[in-house]
Amino acid sequence: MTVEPTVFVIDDDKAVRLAIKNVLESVGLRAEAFASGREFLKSERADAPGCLVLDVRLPGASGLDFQNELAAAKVEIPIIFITGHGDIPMSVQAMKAGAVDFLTKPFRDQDLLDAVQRAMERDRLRRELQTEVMEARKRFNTLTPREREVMELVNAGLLNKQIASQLGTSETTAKIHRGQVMRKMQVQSVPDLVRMAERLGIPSQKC
Amino acid sequence: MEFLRKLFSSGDFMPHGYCYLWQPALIWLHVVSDTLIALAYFSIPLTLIYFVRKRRDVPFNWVFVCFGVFILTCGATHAMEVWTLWHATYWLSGAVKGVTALASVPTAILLVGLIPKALAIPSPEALRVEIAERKRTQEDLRKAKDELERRVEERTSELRKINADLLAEIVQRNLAEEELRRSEDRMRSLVETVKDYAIFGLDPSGRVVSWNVGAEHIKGYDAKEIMGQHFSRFYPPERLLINQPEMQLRVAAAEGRFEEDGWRVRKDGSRFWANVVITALRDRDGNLLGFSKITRDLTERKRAEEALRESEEQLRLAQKASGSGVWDWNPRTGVVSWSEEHSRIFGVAPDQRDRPWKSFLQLVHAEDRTRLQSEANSALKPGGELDVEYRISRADGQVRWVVSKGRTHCGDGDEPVRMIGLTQDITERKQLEQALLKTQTELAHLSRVMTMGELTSSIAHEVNQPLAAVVMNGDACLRWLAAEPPNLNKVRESLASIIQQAARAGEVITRIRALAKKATPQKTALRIDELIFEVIGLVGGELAKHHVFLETELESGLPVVFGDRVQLEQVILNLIANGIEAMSTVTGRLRDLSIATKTTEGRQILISVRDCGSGLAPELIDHVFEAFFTTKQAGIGLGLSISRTIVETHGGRLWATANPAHGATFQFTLPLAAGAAA
Repeated sequence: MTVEPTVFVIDDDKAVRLAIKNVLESVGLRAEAFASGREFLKSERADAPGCLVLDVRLPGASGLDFQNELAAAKVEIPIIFITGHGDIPMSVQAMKAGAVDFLTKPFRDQDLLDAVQRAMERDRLRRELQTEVMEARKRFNTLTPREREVMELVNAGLLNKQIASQLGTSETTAKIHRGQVMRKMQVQSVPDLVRMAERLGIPSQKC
Repeated sequence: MEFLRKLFSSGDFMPHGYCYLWQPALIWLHVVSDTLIALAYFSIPLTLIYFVRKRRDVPFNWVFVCFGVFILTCGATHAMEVWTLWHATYWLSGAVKGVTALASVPTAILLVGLIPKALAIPSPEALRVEIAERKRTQEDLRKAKDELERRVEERTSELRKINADLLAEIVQRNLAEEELRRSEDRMRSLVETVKDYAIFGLDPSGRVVSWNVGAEHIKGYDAKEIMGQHFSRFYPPERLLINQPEMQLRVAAAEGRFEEDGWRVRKDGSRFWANVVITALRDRDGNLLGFSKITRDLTERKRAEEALRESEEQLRLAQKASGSGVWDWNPRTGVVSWSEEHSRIFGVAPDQRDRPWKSFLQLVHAEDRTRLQSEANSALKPGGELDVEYRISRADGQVRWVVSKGRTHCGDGDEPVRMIGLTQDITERKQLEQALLKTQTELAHLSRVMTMGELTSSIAHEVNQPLAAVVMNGDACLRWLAAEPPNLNKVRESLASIIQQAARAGEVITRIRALAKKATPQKTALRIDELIFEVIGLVGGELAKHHVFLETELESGLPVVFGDRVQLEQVILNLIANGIEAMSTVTGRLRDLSIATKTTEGRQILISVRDCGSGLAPELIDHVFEAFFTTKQAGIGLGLSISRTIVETHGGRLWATANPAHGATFQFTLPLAAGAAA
């Protein structure tokens, strides 16, 4: 599968979802349309950046319910809600739950395209970040326990001498470990290592 | 042996031919003559033997045998004559002659002795004469005897006939006497035992001389006590005062007969209504012998007549009070007879009770004549019943509604002979019905508009959806056009979608207008699933707004029903709106609403709407259809009440039941259109 950004449209009204798809395709975006959330979840989707255009009024489970369902299933995808008139309270609720945008029908194509653009950008960033974290974790996994200890201490801002004293080793040994950590984590400087530790969720310890 | 040899040899003799010098002619004369004689002689004995065998009764038949032998031997001598012409066996021929002589001589001697006896045999002629004589005598005797017998027979049969006649006369006389006696007995017992008629005799002065059981029965006196009493005691006092008994006898005596209907008195003093006939009895010379009096008790009849009169009066009053007239149509004569009240309803003179069917039809409103005629015709059959509402055009210019109900009565052959029934003026009822229908229509409209008001935002959504699609497809279309090169396929697709969605929006608006319009109900053939889908098309937004999942289980190929589209859609709309409303507070389970249709055995369609909402409390089930009953904050409680009225005017039924688990089911039936296949 190509890793092309895709917009997923979920609306039970066939005419509406095909119209949205048509607009998206007219600007060269790839779009897929579904009649229900269940249909969307069942589909085989490429792991590509994308966003969801979701009708608030869905039969059975509402758009909001579906939003919760996605969160529970750890499907992280930016959601743009489409609402009719008089659905303002629902829209507010959606935004609070993390929706990136909402559009009131009938809306102009530009509003939709702008919203989609924003959501895509957001997803792209999220994915980038996610990729970095994954990479950092992969590298981190190559460290020996001792090296991990050394990395934590470096992250905490300790000097080689202090590290050696903490670990009860010589300063030379600590220096070698530190060199290994920098090499395995593929960083050039301590600030880089600290940023990576941050992505990995390693707390910076202060002595 | 020597003798025999000598006998058959010719010895030294010359054949006899030599004697004739072998002259052929002479030889042949002898040969032929002797041969013929011999043959003739041989044949005679055969004839004789035959004769003797057949007539064994002929006397002296041994003579015939002797003759036979004699002639046979004679024949043999002639044969020998022929033989000796060429063979000189003269010994043999001599021997044959000798034998002949031996046979012939005794025969001749015997014959001489036989002659006297033969002569004594009577001649046949004499015999014939004698026989004829005897026959005649016998005939005469027989004739005499027959004559005698005939005379005896004649005499005997005369006697027999006389005897039979006598006997018959005796029997006849006995029978006649018996019959007379019986007849008298019958008459007597008839008079005596008739119970329903008092038959009694009076002497010329009016005293009772005979008394039957009927008299005893009707008047209460027995024969013993009334004999010799004056008949005036049978009259009530007020009639005695004007001397009625005497007067009546006088009239009967003068005119031969008197008859009247009047009150009489029984022994016990009670009165009865009687028919009385007094007949004068006279002898041949015209002298008055007395009177016969026949009295009948008519009290029962009079009572029945009065009861009938009373009943007729009651019927007349009942007709007047109920405004219904009785009619009686004879399809054979074509005459309709009717009551006074019937005339009043039709606004015609009350005395004109009989009129031809055609003239009756003239009183019927021109537009209803054909229908009435055909209804009446189809009811004209065994067991046929008429029930028809029609208008009449009265002479005073009023058009009134009437209903005629009647039943056909048939003769023995099942042919309709009359139809009897009632006609009632239902003009006021019709007016009320029409007013009610108008009110109901208005109320239904009001309720519909209110329901739609409640659904405004959802209905708006239904219009908004296609409009949103139109706008987006339009935008996309512009982009496809602006592309380099323009994507004309996509342009075409987008435009097709725009047209389709614009049409969809138009349809929604048409439906909304139809529901909002105030129109007189019009019944047409409808497909119920079509109606359901149209309603779903209006409430789709409302369903989505309340996250209600709608399921339809519609039986395929449902027959058509006959009804008003808008009103039936209103019922379906109400039930769906109710279902959605009932589920608005439901949490923790899916909000399912199900609409199902099916045909039932009773030629009906059943439409049910099932929700899984809060349900109906048993004590509320009976009240939910009452007007102004509501469990909602905002409702005014007309929807279900009006829905029920609509369903009932369509000939169906609407009811509610609580579901076993959650919610309630509202269902209604609609009768299939006549003629629709089930």
